[in-house]
Amino acid sequence: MQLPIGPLIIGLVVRLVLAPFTAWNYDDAVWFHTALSGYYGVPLYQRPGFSYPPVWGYVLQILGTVIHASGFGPSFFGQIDRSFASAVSITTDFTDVVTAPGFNLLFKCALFAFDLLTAVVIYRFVNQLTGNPKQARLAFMAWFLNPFVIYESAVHGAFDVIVGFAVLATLVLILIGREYWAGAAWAIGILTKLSPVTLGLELVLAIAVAQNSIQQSTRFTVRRLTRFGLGAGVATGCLAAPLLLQGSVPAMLHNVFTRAQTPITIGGMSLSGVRYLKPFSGLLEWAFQNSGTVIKATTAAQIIAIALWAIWTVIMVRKDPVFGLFTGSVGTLASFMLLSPVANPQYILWWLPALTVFVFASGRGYWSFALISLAPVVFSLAILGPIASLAPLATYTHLIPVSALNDQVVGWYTAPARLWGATLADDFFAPASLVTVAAIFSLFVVWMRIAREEFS
Amino acid sequence: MDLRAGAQWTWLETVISALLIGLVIAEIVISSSPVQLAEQSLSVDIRSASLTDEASTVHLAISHGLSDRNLDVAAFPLGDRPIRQSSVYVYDDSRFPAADVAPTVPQGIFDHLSGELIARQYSLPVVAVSAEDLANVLMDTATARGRVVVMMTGVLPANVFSRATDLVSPWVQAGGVAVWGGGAIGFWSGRNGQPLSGDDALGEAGTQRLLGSNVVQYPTTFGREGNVQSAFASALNITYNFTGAGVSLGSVTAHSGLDLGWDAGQLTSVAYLPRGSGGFLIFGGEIPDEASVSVDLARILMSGAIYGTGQAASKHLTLAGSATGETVDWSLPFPASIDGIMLVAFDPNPDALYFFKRQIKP
Repeated sequence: MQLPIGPLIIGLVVRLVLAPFTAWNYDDAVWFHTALSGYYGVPLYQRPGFSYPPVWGYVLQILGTVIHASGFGPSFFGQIDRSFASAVSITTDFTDVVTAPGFNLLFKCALFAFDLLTAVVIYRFVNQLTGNPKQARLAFMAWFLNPFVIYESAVHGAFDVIVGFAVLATLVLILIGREYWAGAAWAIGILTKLSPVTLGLELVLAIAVAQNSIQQSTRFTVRRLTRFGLGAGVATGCLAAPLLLQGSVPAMLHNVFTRAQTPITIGGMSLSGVRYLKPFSGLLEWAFQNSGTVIKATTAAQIIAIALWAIWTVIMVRKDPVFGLFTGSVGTLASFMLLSPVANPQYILWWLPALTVFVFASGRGYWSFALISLAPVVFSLAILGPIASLAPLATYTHLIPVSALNDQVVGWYTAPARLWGATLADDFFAPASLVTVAAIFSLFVVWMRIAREEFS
Repeated sequence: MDLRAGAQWTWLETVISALLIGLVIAEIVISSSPVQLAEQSLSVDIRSASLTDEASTVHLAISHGLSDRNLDVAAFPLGDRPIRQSSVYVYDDSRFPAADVAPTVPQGIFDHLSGELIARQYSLPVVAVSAEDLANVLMDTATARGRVVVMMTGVLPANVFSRATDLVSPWVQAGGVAVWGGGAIGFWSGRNGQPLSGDDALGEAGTQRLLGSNVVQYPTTFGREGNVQSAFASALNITYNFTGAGVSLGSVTAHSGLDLGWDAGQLTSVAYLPRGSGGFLIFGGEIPDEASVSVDLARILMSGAIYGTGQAASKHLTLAGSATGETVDWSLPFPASIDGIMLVAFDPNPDALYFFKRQIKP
């Protein structure tokens, strides 16, 4: 089955044009240091900074080692540009680490590979579900030419697309009866960014009940669950092996868990995004002062949501495995995001591939999908202003003066509100966040309607 | 629809297995000794040195790999205090308040400093200590020599320093080195589980008890930055430049101390003030970023800069873009002291590991 070559080329070209001279330097500075740890032969977690499970760190370290072996100097990765000092100190969301065009292109190409792999899975699975190549082609385009997906991998450099790929692969492999590899894909997702662990209950229950009819014995169900667990266990063991050999497991646990325990902020693409509206702006300070209470309440709500979506999946998967598993998984991850104290826009990538499959296979939820593809881009651009991610362009080409970019970032961050927010950025955050939340809830409503209309 | 029938998904299984196996093998290979040794290709050797009362010259041999681009070399004459590498105790206790530091600093300073030192094979322990452990360390004045205590939370815990208690001064007199960051030392005395209040402010009197009069100028000025690099800051590539609670250069001279930082008028961002057999290493302002401060502190500790006399010279070398050896003849702008000079070489690039130190005696 031939992939849609035109959209594929357009998507790649747009990514390759954007990648070298753009960066969300607050995150990409971490990738810079992580790649340098590979360059200098320092174990992944020996120095603090990389506070995620190891998969993306391995990728960056491997790139760093390859760059060293190729004879490039450390300036290949980037530089510290002190001209951004005021933007750094005033916003605290900006760093003076400016990643170099070559490094930007290299590590983003790794992300593009996952963008493409995800697109291929979407295309083939939608085609398999619908038997309609045209619909599959649309689904491919909806993912690979999606402005939000392009922004996150080509501009931001967010590795959440790896999680999205792992989640989608897990679901597809469960549905085609390849539980061992589904378990392996799930483990890759967890060891990239812990969030897919929230799918554990639902996946186990779905495997247990999906095809366990009277004709199929309990032994068959146990065998499927064992294969899933074995796949997850073997993959986890493989991915943890380098850390075990280095003696770095305690350092990883410290970096991933202990270092994240600071007083919290709230907002982003979660229900707490309401705080961007001026009447609710006091919630930010309240949550900071009551971090313990907020964490307890949101954790409890997330556990309840995970349990409810697992129940939904158990009920629906017997009637339609694809509907049950996909809506249950997207619902779990999206609810986990909505109920987090703070949710970054890139968290949407955890479940957007699975949503793309479901929307284009079912033909329902196009408007919600479109809003979810656009609103987070607005949110992301509003954080430090529309040109903040052009720091590599400014530092390495001077097409934009560094001082102008620095002043623009500071000016944007400190600008007063003109509409309904407490700041200028809030004027954009509020609609972007609320539209995303509303679109997610409208999807939930659509799914309930489908369940009532088609399965009752 | 039976999704299992006719499904062609073997390629996806292959992708996942290739991803797993590729990542794991590559990561194991890059963390293996041969690859790591190949990555650490920079080395410096002192071929010869001529130290006289009039002039000092050193002849350096540098070998490096294809990707090594820069090398900073620094030298400084040594004073008459015995040089020792020290165990490092970093105060980190989340029950106690902090001030004039970013929220991540109290814990992060230990994580970053220990990471920097361990990555360079620092041979002595680097330990995080609670307020109680800190008090135990400071009360043990018999072992103060050879110990460094890092307190970069902007607030001394009340069990260590308060209106009625001072465990710091006797310990420093006995030979310990107290490293401070976050506003003026002695201003705040924090209590367990209590946010800071007016009662906890010892103010200028607290600073004077520890450092003496006119060492830190009051009122302190948040955000003030130094813009003139001292000789040591240039030699060791020190980047910390906040001087809001900086030490006056006059008192540095008066106490035979060292200016290790950036100067703003008559204030310096980093100063070493000897006291008795030990001393205070003061980062004179807020700590917004524990990572860069840790790099600075690691360089100061590893180089033995606090044992210098105040003079320093440096050379910033650009290495040839090929794997080769180079030699450098360096005439130092100062004569050697009786205890000789310390020669330090390091890769100045961000996150670079290479660090060389050698004491050259006349």
